[in-house]
Amino acid sequence: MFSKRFVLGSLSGAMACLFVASSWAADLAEIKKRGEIRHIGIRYANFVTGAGDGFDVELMQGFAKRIGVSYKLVYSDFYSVIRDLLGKDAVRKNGEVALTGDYPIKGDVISSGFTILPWREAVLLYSDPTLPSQVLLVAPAESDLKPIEGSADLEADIAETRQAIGSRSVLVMERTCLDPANYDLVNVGIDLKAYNKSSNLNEMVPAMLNREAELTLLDVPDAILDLRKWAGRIKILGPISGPQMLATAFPKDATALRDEFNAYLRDLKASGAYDRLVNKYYPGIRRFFPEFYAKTN
Amino acid sequence: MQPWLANFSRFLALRWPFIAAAAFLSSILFLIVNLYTSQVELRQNADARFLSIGEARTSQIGEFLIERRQAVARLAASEDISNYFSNLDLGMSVKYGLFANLAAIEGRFQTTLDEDKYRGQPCYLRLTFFDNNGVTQADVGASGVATLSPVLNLVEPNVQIDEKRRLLVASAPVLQKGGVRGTVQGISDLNLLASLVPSNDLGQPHEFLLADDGEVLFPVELGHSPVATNGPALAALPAGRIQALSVVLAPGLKGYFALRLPLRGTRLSVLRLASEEELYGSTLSPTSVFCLGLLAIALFVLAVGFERMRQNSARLQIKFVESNRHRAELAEHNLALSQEIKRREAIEIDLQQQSDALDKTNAELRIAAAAFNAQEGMIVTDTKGVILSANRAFVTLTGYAMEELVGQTARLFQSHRRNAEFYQSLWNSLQSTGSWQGDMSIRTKSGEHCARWLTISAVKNEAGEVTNYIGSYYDISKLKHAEEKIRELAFFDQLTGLPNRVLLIDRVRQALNANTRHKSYGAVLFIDLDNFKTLNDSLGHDIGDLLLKAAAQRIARCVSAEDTVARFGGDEFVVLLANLGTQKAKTAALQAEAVGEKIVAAFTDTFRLHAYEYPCTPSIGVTLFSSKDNNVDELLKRADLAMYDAKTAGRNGLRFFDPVMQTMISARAALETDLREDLKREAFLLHYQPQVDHGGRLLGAEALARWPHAQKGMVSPSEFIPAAESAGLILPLGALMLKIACRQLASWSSDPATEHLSVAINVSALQMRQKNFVDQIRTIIEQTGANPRRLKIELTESTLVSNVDDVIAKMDKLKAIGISFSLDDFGTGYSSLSYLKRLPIDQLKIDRSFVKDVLVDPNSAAIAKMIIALSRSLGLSVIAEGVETEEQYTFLARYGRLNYQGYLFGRPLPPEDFETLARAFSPRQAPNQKPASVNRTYA
Repeated sequence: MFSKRFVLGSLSGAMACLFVASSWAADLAEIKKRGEIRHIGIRYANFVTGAGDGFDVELMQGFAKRIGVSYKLVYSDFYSVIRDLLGKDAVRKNGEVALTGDYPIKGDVISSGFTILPWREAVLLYSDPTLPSQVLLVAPAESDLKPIEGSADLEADIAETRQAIGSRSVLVMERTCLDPANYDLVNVGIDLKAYNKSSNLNEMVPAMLNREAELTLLDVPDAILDLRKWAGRIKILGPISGPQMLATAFPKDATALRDEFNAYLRDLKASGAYDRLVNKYYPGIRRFFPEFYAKTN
Repeated sequence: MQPWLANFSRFLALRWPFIAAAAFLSSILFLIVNLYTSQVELRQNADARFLSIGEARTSQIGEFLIERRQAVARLAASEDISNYFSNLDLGMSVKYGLFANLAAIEGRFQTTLDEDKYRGQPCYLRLTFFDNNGVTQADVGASGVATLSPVLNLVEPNVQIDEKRRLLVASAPVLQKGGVRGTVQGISDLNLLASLVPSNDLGQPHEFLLADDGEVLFPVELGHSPVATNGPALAALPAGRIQALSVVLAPGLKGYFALRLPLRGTRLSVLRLASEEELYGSTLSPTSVFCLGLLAIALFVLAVGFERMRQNSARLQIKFVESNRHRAELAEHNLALSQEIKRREAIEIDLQQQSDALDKTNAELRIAAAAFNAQEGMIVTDTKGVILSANRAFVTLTGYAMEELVGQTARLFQSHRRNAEFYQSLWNSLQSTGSWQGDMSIRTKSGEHCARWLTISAVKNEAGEVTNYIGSYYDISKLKHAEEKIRELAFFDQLTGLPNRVLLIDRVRQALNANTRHKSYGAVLFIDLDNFKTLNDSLGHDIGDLLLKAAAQRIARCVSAEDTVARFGGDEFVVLLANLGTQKAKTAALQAEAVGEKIVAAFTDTFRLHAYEYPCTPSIGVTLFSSKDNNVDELLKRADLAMYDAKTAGRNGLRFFDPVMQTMISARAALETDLREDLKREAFLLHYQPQVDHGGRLLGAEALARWPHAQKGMVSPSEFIPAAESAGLILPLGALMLKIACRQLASWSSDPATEHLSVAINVSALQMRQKNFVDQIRTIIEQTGANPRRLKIELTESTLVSNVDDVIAKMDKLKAIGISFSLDDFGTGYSSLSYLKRLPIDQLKIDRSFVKDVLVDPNSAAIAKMIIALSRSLGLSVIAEGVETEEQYTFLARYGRLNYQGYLFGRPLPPEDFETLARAFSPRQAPNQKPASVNRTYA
């Protein structure tokens, strides 16, 4: 699904940046010393609701409690989130990722339904997956396209879904998990409409219903919410990507912090608190990813 | 002291214990009545409390069940399920889309499961969402609890009780877009209800939750208690009524009171049981109080009774001593009395015997007196016939007073109609046999003669000597009258009162015998009324009878008393001129002719028969007889032949017998025989005379009977139809004609040139009068396969005069199968608009007699015009028959679009010729030929 060239390019870029990044990493000790952990969150689905709660907000609040520091939520968006963590922009060019510029570091950890993508892995350190995801193709209810029936072969389902797009316009959001470049949708004849009025993924479906495009991409957590919110007005046609993992991202040098977080995550799952959290914010996700939750259980 | 006061004091002194006891009893009864009233009120209050607690319990359980129903209904109507179906309808699969909705549903179910509690216990064990195929889509809760198969297409929420698994199952339909899309099922533990059925504390009423089959659901630990074993009987108790349980109803629960309150909408009932003490406490029952009252009264009555008995015993003691003394006195009196009785009994027996003998004598005397005073006249004479006594009936009969009779002999009232020889033989018989009886005529004081049957009996004394004669006169006047009546019936015609055929023949015979003696001529006149049959057929028998009576009177007035006028039968009369007083035939003939002419003249005036003025003429045949003639039948036959000769000669005339007539009669008989034979062989034909419309187009034909005789050739209908009528063959002839016509119609139906043609056929009044006429026609149509819509029946007016209702009923039945009717000879008979309007006819036929004279007779022209106008107003078609000239046609055509029949359009043709005619003018002829009308020169 991902081209070999892109993976290799991303990895080499990550190695090149490794040295630079390590110099301004904030690891566990520093945070403990500071007495505060700054959680960079993007208002997105039920991860960070913007109302002071969300799956990732509660996750990080628990983590702050575990390491004995206070918790602070720093809002960001998909375009600035890496810059706010690393103090540099991650620029993708020709399959490679470069960190450029100097910006103020606003937080210690990104936790906001942040998809593990190869190019991101080149510049960030990811925790164990906190939630699975997948990108789906969504159409308005009145669209003449019919949802695929779905089969046991995911590759075939994706191919069938992509074929359905044809020359229709698709709403996408670059640099997010809905970036068409992630799924080889660029330069294949699809009329891509980049949504740039906002960096809020929650606006993708309303924009499509506002006829800014005929179709839109949507990730599973968002789809869970939108299928209730826009019940009867949208329909999911099928998958565009394979399963993806969302995880909490750390600066590359914050290994102690990441390890501690992983330990916290394991404990959380063992205690059942994780399941309660998932059920609270994404009650349907267990059904969509039965294999993932079979493992976690 | 006043006397009344003294009496009252004495009354009190004697009865004070009784008064005291009565007062005591009254106070006790007062207390008991109060106690009874209180107990009744207490029990009513207890019952009300028992019932209200039960109802409250039922209400609580009912509310609980309603809440369960409503809860699952809320889940079924939840937004999550609605979203699921919205997305399902958009075609989304479970894998890519519906998973989110199902997860939301499960989330909602889980929340409900966690949060819905009842008295601290979870309301549900399991919540399940089934789709319309009964497939589980979302399921939350204890997987160990089995779900129940959902009721597909459930219409409204319900609650079911699973007694065996002790589960309570609430189900609600999922309604989406006006249809049922699935079911939500909530399973609860039945034990939730346990908190609503309180524990059975001692001294409190026991409560149970029963299923309708009597299974005790609560309390659970009941085991083998009487309630469990009597469950079915308790479940069948009437609802809402406190009922005392008996051994029969619920063994083991005798003495308990039960109240069953069903839970609405379920098969459950709340049962409350309480012993009498639990229900009413340890108070006396109203029945016990009532019994106490009765006991007090009974004790009082017993006490009073004992006191009375004691007083009576003392009185009896005194009476016993007194009665012993009286008994001794009575014994003495009894002895004297018994002796007196014996003496009187002996006297009484003697008197009785005398009385019996006297009674017997009196009875015999009463019988004799009654017999003597019977309705029949009786006299008693001495041995010389001198009247000693007569009874009242005889006095009345003769008109003589008793004093006038006594001392006279029977000569006083003897009739002179009997001679001396008769009376001498009577006396001889009396003296030799002691009795006589026979027909006797009595002459009354006023001179009248009475017929009596006289019985004379001799009365003898003990020595056997005749002492008296008793004569009894029985009234035989009725018998005589009956004899005369019989004679009248036997020899006289009842209608006219004239001698009948039998008496006539007897008198003719007597006349022949007498003429043999005095050698003079006599004559027989055979009279037949002309057209009497037509009158009978048209106006009915009642009018015919009137004519016969009037004719009889007129004929009788034309002859002398010595001559005989007899009704010979039907409308035939015979006049016997027994003795014309001459030995010359010519003179005799002139005298007979004179009488005959007198009779003909007597018929000149019309007869007034009720409302009708009827002209009637006689045809008279005369034959003379002399001493040479001795055959009565021959004589009558000759007169009959002569009468037929008169008929043939134009009726209303007189003809004498001529031997030539005999030949003619024989020929007529031969014709009838041939007619009969040819009818059997169906050797008759129909010829068809064309009927055309105003434009000359062929419509059909009138079928006319023809008889091809083997020797005589074609016999005219005017000859064979009267012969058929007189021979009684008109009905079979009519039926045969109908059959031939229908066969012809069936044959024509297969030919395009003739298939549209109709056939009109005449039906006589006699045929219409047949009871089975309609069935006969139906049978002919079925057998021949003719189309009844092509058959037209022509009726004459005379058919319709008699019994119109019957004719109309038959016509209606025939019209119902398609047959049409034409009224033939309209205007010639008793045309009546009143029945014409009622008749279901289709066509009027202008009679040929009017058509013939239409140009020369203004009356005929006026009648023809009237018929055309009348038919127009009645909506009937008109056909004119007998149209022979262009002038007649032109005249009639001026007054409307009529149909026509007559020589101008065609003579009656044999079937083959008629078919040739029809084909020549068929609209289906060759394409280059136009359909033509009947050429009036064709004929």
